[in-house]
Amino acid sequence: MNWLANNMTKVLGAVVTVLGVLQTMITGGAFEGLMDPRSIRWLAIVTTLFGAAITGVGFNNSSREKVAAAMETALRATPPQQGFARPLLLTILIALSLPMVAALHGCGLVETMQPQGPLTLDQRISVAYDQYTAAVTSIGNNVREHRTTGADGQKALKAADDMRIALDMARGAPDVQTAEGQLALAANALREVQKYLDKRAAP
Amino acid sequence: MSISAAAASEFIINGMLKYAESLARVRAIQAEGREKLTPEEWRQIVSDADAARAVAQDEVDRAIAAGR
Repeated sequence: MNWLANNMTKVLGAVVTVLGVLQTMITGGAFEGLMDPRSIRWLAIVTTLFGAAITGVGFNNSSREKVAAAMETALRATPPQQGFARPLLLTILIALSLPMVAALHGCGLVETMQPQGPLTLDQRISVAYDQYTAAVTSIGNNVREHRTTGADGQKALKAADDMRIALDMARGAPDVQTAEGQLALAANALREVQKYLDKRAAP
Repeated sequence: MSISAAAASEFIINGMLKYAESLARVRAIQAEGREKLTPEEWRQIVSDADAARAVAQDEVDRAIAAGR
């Protein structure tokens, strides 16, 4: 127990390292085929939380005496640093780690949002309708916020209307080939709306 | 951020949010083992699209009337 008390920080550091390797393996897909996707996601969540908790414990795992002795030794060995190099480094490390953690978990979230298997034609048309709704909503917002003039907004709406016509035709198409063709036209019209908002925004 | 960049990002963010909504609906449909949407689901999608189009037209008309 004495040994454990004296070396607790090292032990915690080793556990955090192992959890980090585990996280890297999860992200790299090493567990795919061994476990189902839901279990892998849970493993990622548990290792993240466990790692964070252990890191927190590790930071608090120094008694005042130990910290004082360590600081005294350090001060004797090297004179105190002037300036703000260490706080700055810490700030940079924290600032970099936060978006990285968010990005890693963002990837997981996107993965959980993905549909299971390919979309049917009906489902794809429904997604395209939603894109149309998003496009006209953006046009309205841009005009309201004065980022686009009324005249330009009207032209963007005209491009969106072309998309809507193609979508309505895709939905009522007599065969898959016609529907696919109309979906392609709708996608082109959506690109036109996007270009329009990008190029013609009010100066 | 320039005005045109703001307009473009508004377009992209709106699209992504709506896309997330679409995927959630598709996942629910797939979970039920269905390939097609129900008439009620279609009615809701078309109704949302029409409502958004009407709001956008109102904004455009208001801007034109105000000389913007």
